[in-house]
Amino acid sequence: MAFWRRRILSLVGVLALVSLGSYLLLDLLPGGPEVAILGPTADPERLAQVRSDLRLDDPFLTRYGRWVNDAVHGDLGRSYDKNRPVVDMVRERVPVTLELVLLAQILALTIAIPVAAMGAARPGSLFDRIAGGASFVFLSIPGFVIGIVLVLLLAVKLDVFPASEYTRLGDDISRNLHSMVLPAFTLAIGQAAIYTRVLRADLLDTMEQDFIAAARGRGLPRRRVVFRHALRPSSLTLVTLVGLNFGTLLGGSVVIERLFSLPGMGKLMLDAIPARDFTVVQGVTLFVAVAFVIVNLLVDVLYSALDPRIRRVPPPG
Amino acid sequence: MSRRQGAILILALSLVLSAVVACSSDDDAPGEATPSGGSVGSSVNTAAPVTDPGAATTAPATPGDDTTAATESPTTAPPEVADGGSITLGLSSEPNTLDPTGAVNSAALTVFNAVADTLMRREPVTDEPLPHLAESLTESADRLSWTIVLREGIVFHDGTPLDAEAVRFNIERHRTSLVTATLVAPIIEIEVVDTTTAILRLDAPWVALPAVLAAPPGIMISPASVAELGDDLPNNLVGTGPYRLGEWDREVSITLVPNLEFWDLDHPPLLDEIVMRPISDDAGRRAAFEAEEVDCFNVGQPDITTLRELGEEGHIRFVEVVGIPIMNLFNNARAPFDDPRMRRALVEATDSQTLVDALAGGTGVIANGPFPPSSPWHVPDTGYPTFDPENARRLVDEYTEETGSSPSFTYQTPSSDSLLELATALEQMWEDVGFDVTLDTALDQTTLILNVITGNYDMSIWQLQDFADPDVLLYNYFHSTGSLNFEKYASATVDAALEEGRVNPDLERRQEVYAEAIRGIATDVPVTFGTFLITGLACVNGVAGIDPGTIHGLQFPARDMFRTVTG
Amino acid sequence: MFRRQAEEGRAEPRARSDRGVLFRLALAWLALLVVVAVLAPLWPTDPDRGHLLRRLEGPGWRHPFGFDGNGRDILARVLHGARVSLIVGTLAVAIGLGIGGALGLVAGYFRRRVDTLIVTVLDSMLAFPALVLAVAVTAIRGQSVTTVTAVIGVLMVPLFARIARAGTLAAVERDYVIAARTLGGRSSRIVRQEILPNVVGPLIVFALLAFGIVILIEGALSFIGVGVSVDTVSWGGIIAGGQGRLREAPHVSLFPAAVLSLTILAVNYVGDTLRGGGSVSVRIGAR
Repeated sequence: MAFWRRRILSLVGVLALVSLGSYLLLDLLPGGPEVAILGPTADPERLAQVRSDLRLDDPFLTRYGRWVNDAVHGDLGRSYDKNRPVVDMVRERVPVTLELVLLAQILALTIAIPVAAMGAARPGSLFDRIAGGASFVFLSIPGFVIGIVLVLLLAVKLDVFPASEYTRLGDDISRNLHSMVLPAFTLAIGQAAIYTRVLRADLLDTMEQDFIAAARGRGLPRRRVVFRHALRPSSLTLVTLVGLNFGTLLGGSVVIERLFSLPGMGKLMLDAIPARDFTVVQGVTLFVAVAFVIVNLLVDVLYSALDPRIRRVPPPG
Repeated sequence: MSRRQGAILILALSLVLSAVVACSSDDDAPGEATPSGGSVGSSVNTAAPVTDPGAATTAPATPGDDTTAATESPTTAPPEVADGGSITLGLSSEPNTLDPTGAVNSAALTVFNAVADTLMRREPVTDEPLPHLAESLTESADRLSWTIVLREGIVFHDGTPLDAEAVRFNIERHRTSLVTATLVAPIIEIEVVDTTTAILRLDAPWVALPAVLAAPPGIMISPASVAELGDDLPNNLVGTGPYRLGEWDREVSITLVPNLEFWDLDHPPLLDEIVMRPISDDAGRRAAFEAEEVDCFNVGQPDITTLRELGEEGHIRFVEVVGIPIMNLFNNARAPFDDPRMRRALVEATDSQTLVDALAGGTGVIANGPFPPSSPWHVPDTGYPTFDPENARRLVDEYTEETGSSPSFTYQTPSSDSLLELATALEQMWEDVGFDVTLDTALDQTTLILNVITGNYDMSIWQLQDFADPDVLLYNYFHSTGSLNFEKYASATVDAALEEGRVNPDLERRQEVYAEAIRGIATDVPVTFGTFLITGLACVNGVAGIDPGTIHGLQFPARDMFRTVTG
Repeated sequence: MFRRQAEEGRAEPRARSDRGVLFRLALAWLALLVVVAVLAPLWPTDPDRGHLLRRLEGPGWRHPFGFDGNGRDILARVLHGARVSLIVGTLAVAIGLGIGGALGLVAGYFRRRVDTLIVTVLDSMLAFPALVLAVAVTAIRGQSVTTVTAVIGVLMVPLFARIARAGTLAAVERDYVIAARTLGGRSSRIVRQEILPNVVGPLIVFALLAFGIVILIEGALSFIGVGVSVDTVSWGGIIAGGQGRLREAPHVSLFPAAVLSLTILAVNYVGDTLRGGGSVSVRIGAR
């Protein structure tokens, strides 16, 4: 219990530090929302007037305190630039990013688990070595390079997938999937490579252990042992990684979103900072941090579910 | 026209290229003109940063500032209206605000065009402001007030009447707007006489008023909706136009539906639906058009040549417009550009023709001043410097000898791909004659704008806005007390000419004084003029209502578009 | 970790010789890059000199990578770009290693409140959107190699710290360390003599991998426009410049992308081999 209490306390600390940090960083930016609101026709007097209307000249801690107080009450404020509630804007973006990340993780795991297991079932086999080499290569190629090549091949040359066409899930599922496949696949390739390597190594570790030897002693074929007995206890590192990726990616994969013109969280953020849309940046940052915290807790819970002994080991992080 | 202009050319080109373009470069107003009497827009707005989609204010077209040429399929007979149908437009951005007193971008102007009307409208051919929502607009004998008489019986989409009180309310909002107040600065009071009559009082005679009322300050929205919407005003629009705002799915689409009670029975809404989709990337818009996902789109600069050919061959409908120039502001109060020789040398070092040929595929009209050749205000011989690298080098050497160091400066430009290419090419040309150039490219538009506003820059890309009347543009930018005189230019002769142009109602005399002002500006080179921005609109055959002479910029004349039976 | 890798080695006896060749190839590639980076100024083609009328021209005999959108020679730019990648890679890793390593060591050694505090800070750094950091710092300080290095260095801190902390925690549990602490040994001595050796190995191995990660991040930042300034040639910047022209001129992006990917691949391969082959790292770790 003490462990969980400390863990949760620490995660609350994370939220506080992250929001304070981004507030501070925004505060240091030259110019504030007033510039974004008034646009290029502003003169200094008007800028000052808007600043004071927005209470931007209050002391830093006063403003931060006000923001925290509102946020705790579920009010993230309104966008200065778009003049809409930040909560609405985030809510619109979440499905896009969530879908992208989910699809990518599903794709990555769909590739990684069988490949790793088959490799571990027959280490050193031709398949294992090819898979190992391929995963190594893909893990080394930056996502935006993979994206560019895929766009070039599939969208530009073969014209199979649209390069930048987003359709909402609710509007038309098949078109939506059509538009999401390429970005999700781009994101998935690199991750599948990492997952494959991690899982294969853990599987090999597990295969050395006594209970596996016992299973094999009963004459079960190695491949079956891998899938039936070794997979679950070998998935701890994988779960951590998937969790970590999930948490990070919910903040939006800027590069992918930019490459494929997806209206996700990353793009929201990328637009909001130059526009000095402070409330939006704060809102997204908070969202990302909360996602990170929740995913972290979930990973902890999953850990203990997968292997009760884990609880005694210091938490990952 | 001189063959090379300043860097602006490039800028312009690149602008277009950049997604951003859309916003910044609008030239049209919301209701732009169609033969059918759209409203006109021109606004008086102000400057727009060159690139930022979000930040730009807009400006609508100037009377006569645009050249339009359209290529239509040779075989098309006069189009026959099909009943209803839907048209999808691929726009380069989505509206940043639907509050006419905000810093509206071109997508917003396209929406205004269909959903709201202005008091005056521009006559499509002559660009003369004509009454629209107003039945008449009359100047008083002392020239210090104008009387507006409204057409009777017009109602907003929410059922409330358009009356003189609504006129007062709307113009008053501009007067107190932090963004657009400059546009209506000469108006000091609005008096409501009866339900259909309002009087605008001025502090001095103001010739440009009718043109300004054909621009965003003339847009009428429902006062009741303003009260009701509160903070949500920028996300809604309740006007009197032929279409109403339907659903707005952020970043995905905006749908307009017909207003069956539209007041102008001669020009009813002809479509069942207009859908606007923001696709910021040029190639993406074109791809969507090719995949038949949109019927019409804003053509990016790189695609203009190709699409023009397709239009000439009759495969599509293509209309292009030569609009306002893009420019660079010099900081005239700071070395090295406090020295007029350095400003001239920089322009002389710029090989605009090569830039147009190489970066814009030959598409681009080199500017010699603020108005394109088609404009009534265009001056053929402005005295603007032409490409002369030898002379530029000589001036730079002279300067270096006098001051002991070569002229060095930082050039501010946004970091979009195309602008970056332009800036890089410019840097090389300038360095070739001896300037020491640092590029400052930032993702961050706000910093760029702020630097210009506060005078913390040497040279910066900027985009001129298209204004309803030369008064608004020239006075604000080049009068020594102008509100947009970010370049800190001061010339007594130019001031005098601009002051006379503001009050003298005689058209010929105005043309004379503005020509004088433009010559003064072009020879002093407080800014560089690049190329006139060329924008293109393309539609599949079967979409009508975009015609030569009716298009002034990036905005689609949405209210006048319809589908034809053939096609 | 080491055990796992060692096992891979056992399982793949035939891979040994392949690995030897590939390993040498990877090392040769990296060595070539270093040489290229140092000697880049001697290359006859000016990377900044554009020939506008040859813009986007494809690869040819004298210009094997072709020209970019400003008519600049892409090969020359890639060669100069190596400098930025190597400088940023080295310095950012040094920042991560120095600060992160120290934080992890302190957290793992003192544990309890100190540990909770440091772990909270590290978690916050991980949870902080990297984009906000990069864009904001760039907006405040301007685009430069220094800014990019600092930003990426900060991003590396929590990663190094985690590794250092894990190694420290493991070492602290050992009997002789517990004994030394109970007997009142000076912390600085215990850390230096007993714990550091246990942590340095994994850190150094990770530093190599991190080098690859840093190069990748630098590329991605330049790609989205918040990397080094445009006056500085960088691989990510060249790739980004060609992104809009994939249709007409794919070579602008593809050549530098290939070089970037090969470099990361080489770094990863070398790092992985050292770790798995157990030679260097294990020896350092077990000293």
